[in-house]
Amino acid sequence: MRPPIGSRLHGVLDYLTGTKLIGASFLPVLRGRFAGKVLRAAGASHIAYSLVTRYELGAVKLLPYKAHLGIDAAGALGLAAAPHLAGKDGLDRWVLVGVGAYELGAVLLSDPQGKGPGAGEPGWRAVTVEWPEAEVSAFLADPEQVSRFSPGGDWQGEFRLREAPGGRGTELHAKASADDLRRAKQLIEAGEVATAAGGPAGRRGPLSAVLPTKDTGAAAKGAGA
Amino acid sequence: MKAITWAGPNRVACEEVPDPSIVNPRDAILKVTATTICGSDLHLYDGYIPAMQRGDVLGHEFIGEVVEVGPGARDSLAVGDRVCVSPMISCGACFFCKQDLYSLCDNGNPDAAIPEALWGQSPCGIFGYSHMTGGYAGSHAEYIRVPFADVGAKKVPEGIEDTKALFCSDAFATGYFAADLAGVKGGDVVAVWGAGAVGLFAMASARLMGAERVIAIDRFSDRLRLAREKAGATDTIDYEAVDVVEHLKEMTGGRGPDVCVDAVGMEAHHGGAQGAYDRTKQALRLESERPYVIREAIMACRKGGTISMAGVYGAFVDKFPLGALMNKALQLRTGQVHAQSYIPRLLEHVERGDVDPSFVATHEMSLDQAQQAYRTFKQKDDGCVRVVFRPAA
Repeated sequence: MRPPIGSRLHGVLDYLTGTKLIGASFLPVLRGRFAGKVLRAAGASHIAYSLVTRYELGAVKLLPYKAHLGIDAAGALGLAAAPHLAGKDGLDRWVLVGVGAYELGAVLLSDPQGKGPGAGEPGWRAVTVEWPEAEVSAFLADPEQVSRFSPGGDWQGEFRLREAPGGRGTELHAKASADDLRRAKQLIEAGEVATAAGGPAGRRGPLSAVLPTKDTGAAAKGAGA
Repeated sequence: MKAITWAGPNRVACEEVPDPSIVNPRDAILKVTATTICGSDLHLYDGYIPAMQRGDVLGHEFIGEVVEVGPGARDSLAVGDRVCVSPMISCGACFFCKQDLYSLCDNGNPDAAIPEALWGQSPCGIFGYSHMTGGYAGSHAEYIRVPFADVGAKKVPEGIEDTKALFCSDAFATGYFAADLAGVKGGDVVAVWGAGAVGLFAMASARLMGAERVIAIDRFSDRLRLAREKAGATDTIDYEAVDVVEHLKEMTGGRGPDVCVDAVGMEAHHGGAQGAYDRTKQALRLESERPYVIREAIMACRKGGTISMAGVYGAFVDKFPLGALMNKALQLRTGQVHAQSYIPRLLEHVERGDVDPSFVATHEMSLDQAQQAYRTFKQKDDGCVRVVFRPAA
């Protein structure tokens, strides 16, 4: 059986765990203690390397997912070992060994391929569009449309169409990125790709460069606005 | 142009930013003639909605004058039109839009991956409402780009003044939607938690739909007075003075209200142990909401009754009385307002004089007074119910 935690869920857990470790370090019982300081550092570094991991929730996709899992495992062992190495016992030891065990458990339950259960054939995704099958076919055969919904050129043209039940249009199953499929659906149904471009922003903070959002400036340029 | 931007938790700024421009064929550019701070903007201001970035232009409730129209929207809009705009950015062509469920639009949110990770599927885009809902620049600005303007911008009939039309964009629409969702009908007893603008309009709308008694629940005496005098509430409850569930039971002959409306959402206030519990968990980010209102509504509602959730929630709650919800056979109706389908109907009500929504506009300020405006609204200082900006003036 495939391990139950896919890369998307793993990412959610990464950010939740990171923020909770930082939050817990401010609890009165841990504040100022060895365990509190270690948890805060662990939480912060966890969020930091999650932001640069090559998975769904990574902001800058640099670090391979398997390497991320390796860091997770090493970090978990480090947390459990820290109180022993620093000669701490009592609460410090229980907390850090406990958190280390939880993190190690999360790694062991994570699918190194990143898929998790329920993942169908690799890379197959689906959207339903409010158009009859023949028109969707014609749309996908038009190179100009393809270049609009797959500007990165990732579209391989491998897809299947199926009539949706109850007259709800056509299911488009394709080996494609979620963004390409979303853009294709937007172009078919709405005639354009939704974008926040063309709407201004004020002075950005230092975090904005790494946060997972669309860059309004760059997108506006492409549209010739 | 000038715009109010988010500058971090509890901080906003009035900044000089570039003018917006047409990008897609169905866009329009509007000169913003009136816009207001919505209660849900406080969730952003307070820092409870993730995916806000410094520099994001705030605001989603507005009316304006069309100054430029893209080729795809020219059949329905022309330069000079006065329009009331839906906060929801929706394509008008997908499965959901075709059923008038505009806030569920599949195609309005360019950052759909973020809500998909958190909620499974993404709702529509929303102006000025974080990168969860598209990162669109908002309306607290002199000009705004309106995507899918042919669907979202509704013409305001002549003779309806700006302040009356403004609240049809969101507050009146959401209040009306809440009453409509709950299927309020003649003879109903309706309890509304929260006498801010949305709650007040839910009360007025419940009366329009024939409710016999409308009970307003809040802790601010000036808001409860507005509820009685302007929004048609027949009774009021100060929740700091009495036990709301017991009091409602007694007021309704032991039955409980037929319809309960939550017009508060994730940042409800509560004294006592329950308040301390949720505040602590929320501060430690172990719980994202403070769900007293929805807990109380479920406990108070009559068996087989309906709860309408107009207040905004973001993620997870604790101690949710699921057993009461199930065993009392309650209906829980939810959602962001499908404003595109309500705005024209509400403008008709206003034109006929059924409701004058301008009574919630207690304060008027300029964009330069951004910080003062947000603080006054948040603290409810000086009887503040709504602050109105008139950027084009």
